[in-house]
Amino acid sequence: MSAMDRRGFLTRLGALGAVGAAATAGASAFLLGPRAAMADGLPKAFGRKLVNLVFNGAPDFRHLIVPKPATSDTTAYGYYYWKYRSSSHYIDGNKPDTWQSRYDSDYDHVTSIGGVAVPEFGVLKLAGWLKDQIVAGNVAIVSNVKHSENRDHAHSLLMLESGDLTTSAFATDRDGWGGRLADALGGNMFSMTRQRLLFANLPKGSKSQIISARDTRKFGLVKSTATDWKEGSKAVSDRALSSYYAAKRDSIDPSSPHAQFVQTERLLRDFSNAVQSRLGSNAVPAAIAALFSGDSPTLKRNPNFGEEMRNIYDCLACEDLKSAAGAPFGFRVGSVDYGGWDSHKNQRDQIEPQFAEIFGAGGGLDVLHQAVATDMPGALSKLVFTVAGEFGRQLHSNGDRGTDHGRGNYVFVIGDGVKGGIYGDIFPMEEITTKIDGLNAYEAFNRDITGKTAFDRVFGAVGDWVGESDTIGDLVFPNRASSPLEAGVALTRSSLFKSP
Amino acid sequence: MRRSGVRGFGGWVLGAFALANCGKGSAGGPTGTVQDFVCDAPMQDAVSNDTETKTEFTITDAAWDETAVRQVLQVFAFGGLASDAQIQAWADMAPADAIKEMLTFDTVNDKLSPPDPTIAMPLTRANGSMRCLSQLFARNNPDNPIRDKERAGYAIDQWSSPSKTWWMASHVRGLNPVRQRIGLFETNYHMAVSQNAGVTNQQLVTYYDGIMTALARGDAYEDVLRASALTAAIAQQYHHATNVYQNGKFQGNEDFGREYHQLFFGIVGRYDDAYTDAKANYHELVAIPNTAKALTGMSLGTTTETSDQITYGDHDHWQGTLDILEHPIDGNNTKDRIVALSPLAIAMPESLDNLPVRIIRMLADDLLDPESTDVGVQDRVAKVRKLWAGMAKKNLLEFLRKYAISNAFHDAARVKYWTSIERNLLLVNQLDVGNAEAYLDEYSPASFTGSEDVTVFRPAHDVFGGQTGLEAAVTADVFRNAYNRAVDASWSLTRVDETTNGTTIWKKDWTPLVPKDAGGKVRVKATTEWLWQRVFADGLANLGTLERAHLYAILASGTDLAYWIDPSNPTQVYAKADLETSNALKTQVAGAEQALIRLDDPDPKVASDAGYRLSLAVNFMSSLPYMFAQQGVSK
Repeated sequence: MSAMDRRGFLTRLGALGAVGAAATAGASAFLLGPRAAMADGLPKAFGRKLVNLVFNGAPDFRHLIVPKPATSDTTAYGYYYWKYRSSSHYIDGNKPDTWQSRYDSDYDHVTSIGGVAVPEFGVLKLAGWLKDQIVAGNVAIVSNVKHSENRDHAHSLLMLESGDLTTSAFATDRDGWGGRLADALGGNMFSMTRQRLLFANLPKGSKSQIISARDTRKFGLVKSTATDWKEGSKAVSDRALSSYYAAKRDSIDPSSPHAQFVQTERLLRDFSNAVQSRLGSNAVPAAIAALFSGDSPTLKRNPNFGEEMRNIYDCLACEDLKSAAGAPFGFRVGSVDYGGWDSHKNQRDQIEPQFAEIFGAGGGLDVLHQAVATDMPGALSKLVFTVAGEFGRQLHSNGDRGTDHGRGNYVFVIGDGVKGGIYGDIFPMEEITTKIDGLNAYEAFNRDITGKTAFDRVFGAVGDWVGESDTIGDLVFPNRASSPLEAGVALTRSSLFKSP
Repeated sequence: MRRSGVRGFGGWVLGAFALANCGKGSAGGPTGTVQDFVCDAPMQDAVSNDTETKTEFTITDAAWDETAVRQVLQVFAFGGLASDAQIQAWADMAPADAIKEMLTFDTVNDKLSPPDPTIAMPLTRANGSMRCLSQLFARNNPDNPIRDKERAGYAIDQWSSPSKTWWMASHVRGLNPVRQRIGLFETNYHMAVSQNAGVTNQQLVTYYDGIMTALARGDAYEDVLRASALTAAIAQQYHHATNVYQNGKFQGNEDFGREYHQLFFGIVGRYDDAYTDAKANYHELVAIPNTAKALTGMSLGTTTETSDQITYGDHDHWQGTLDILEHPIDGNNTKDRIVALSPLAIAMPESLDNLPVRIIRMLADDLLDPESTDVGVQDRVAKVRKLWAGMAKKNLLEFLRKYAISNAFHDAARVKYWTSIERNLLLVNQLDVGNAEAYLDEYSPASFTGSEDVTVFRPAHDVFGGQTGLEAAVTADVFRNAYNRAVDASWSLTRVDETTNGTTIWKKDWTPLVPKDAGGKVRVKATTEWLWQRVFADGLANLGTLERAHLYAILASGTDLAYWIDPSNPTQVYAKADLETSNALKTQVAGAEQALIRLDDPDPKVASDAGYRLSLAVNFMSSLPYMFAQQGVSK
């Protein structure tokens, strides 16, 4: 890291507040990669894998990515954005100088992606790591993605996670697109969230497995040890339950609603020894541990996201393991989340610290990225993240310094293997040129981003890349070929990834 | 400026409750007795318990049996705390009569949860609200059976007070677990608010008590929802207390303008059976924005203590008629508009379809899905909707009673997956033998539920509710926690006494509860079946060869099956087939059936060990597959 880079890095740390402070204290720990001595036995070769990050609550990604202000040109996009979004930025829409100062002080100005010049746009400075990744050409910003039209959080999440806009509001036990992808890949689905998301659900009859990786450091089932009194309650309960479940596997009716718990016990037990042994000899990298542990975790809003980063790291560390029966660990798809994006009020206070915790320098993804780069560098080019919420938000901010429910939104695809760039019109001019009742989409209330590209296209292409086949995405999204795609946009594994 | 409104739950709408509910609690003093406790906001409202119960779907008297009673109690009362004799008495009654005694919303139900005469606590009807219980449990009197270091945490100014109070109220004998079960549903699922969103203890307790008092009083459901919508808790949660109409402009957010329709009434824009873009657009572009405009001109109390006060004024309130749900809605303030709107909402075809399904799906039937192609599911959906539609006045208690004795509930295709809260409460309510262990929190259900990432009044999905049963079932970590607790923390469920500073402050005594033979003896087989039915309520359908063998071993020997059979080979797995074909194994297991469990042995060590074995059996059962879901029994 050059001196200038380091200064910039530390500046961002400062801007990040809590994240920054904690990261500064331990900066060398994760900047300099001190874990080489602790990383013995970690795998060196990796298969491609997807980790899907759900932002539940409908994130305002147009707060994260903003146009350059146009303070006097009333034909420019940047005029209407800043004038009618002013309250959610806590500035005065009638004072253009506040638009520019806000943009200059709180947004990094991106003018090139992967060395190629692009029209300038802003990325929230608190998301400094994301900005660096965008500039480095490792982020695909897919614009105008079509989400649910009904603006109902719960239902729209089912649609997003199932990858199917026809999913009904009550279909909470159907398959998810992550489960379908794991099935198509012949790998396993790793659920790392507090409550398992529908995204992870496997299709009926799948031979893949859903591995519970909610807390990898407590992976599997507890067993008594030789030091436990053999007639004590712990040893007795351990023997009784493990014996019972071992016997029950062959005798429970598979159609019983209770059969799934017998299956769960087996899954938890399958990899217990191997995972516990591997992780027992490899401590959680200090920088990752600092995200969520102690009295003052770096991620104060949501330490659980730090645990999810730990889980991803640990699952990578177990890449080469096999179960007691010889089955591969099979980490091909992971599921993580970060909630709290329903920003009807006081949007800056609500979502900016969250963007920082996820995308900031010293935030979750940055720390994970650096730890993996240090300990398992072979994994970086094989790991891709998809980031999406259930829908976007309205273009005109509301009267409560927030934004109300909308429809279309951005989706991000992030990874060293991603061919970074803008896919689709990042700020569609039609939003200001098309008028209804004399008002454009910013001037009027209740207008939003028009979805033009189905998420089938985006996630399907990611599936193709993970599966190294142009047909995998079709297995996961059967209607992909006929689904909407914004004019002029190509979303294939060769267009979306550097090494298809 | 004209302002109207009072603190509390719906203000003027439910005036009697609201005006009485003005206390701020008292921690009591170190002197005196807990018996002196007088709540400063005692429950005074009338209760309406008499509802219709019988319908075309009511199961027959013959089909209504002990298992049916227990299944109802599991779903609607966290298992309840009734005696076996009472359960049998209900089973002997006609279901339409029994259910009236079983399911009530008052603060106490002496048959469902009889007071524990061995521990004096003034758990009276008047003291049974969350607000009063918080004050009572926080009393710092020497005779308060709650540990002295824990008492202060119940006081309403303590951050975890509502949660602590709710847990205690849900499993202490002498109150009414149905009230807490429905209170949890309404405040954590259907009309969820979250303390993570800044809802204060005062707001939450007023909200909770207000809802349950209104339901117990027999208010029409739309009136309960209307009053809930008008509370400070909801205004805090959705932040519309700052919505204003000024200078001819609406300023605010439309969050609750949407969720009032969607979450409270099940209206998302379909309105009637046929979906059209025009109706959806009307809902999005007219109804929701106009509902947001109706929610203007209110203000919340400005201090923590007064935060549950809300006033609705005409100043800063939208002027003129608002088109909502295709009706003109007029009013001088938010209250006027919501009062006008709620009867329309509850009568919307979309609400009539969705609301009863959502209620039952969350409470009792995780597979209830109107879009399902399964004819059995379609049949249950149709019955639930018909029960709801059949009530001219929508009354939640009447609906739940009718449903609980219907063949939609008593159906083998119905599955209720337990949430972490439900499962942990079911377990401790069947493990507790009296209030001593409840007050001492010997089994810590809240703590173990927390380890499963679930916290009462901080729902996992914010206004969309807490962990669902289906989520709990598919989240392997929930199973892992339960299993590992039974092994790694087996002590927590198997302990039978507690000694502090050389004094035994609690000793578990199963004796009054356990069935005895004609000679007064407690035997393994009868105890196994009793425990099984008590915890799983399945009519012993799942108590098979394997389960019996394991439980007989534990109860007869205090050890596990393999160790009991051959201590030199304790890891041997005995399959069901082994147990059914090996003469030696059959003989050993059968021989244990009539073995004695010496709870009444004169040697205290023997008696204590016998009690330990029962608790060890419950510990084993706590992570069996049957602990995670209830399957209905067709009647």
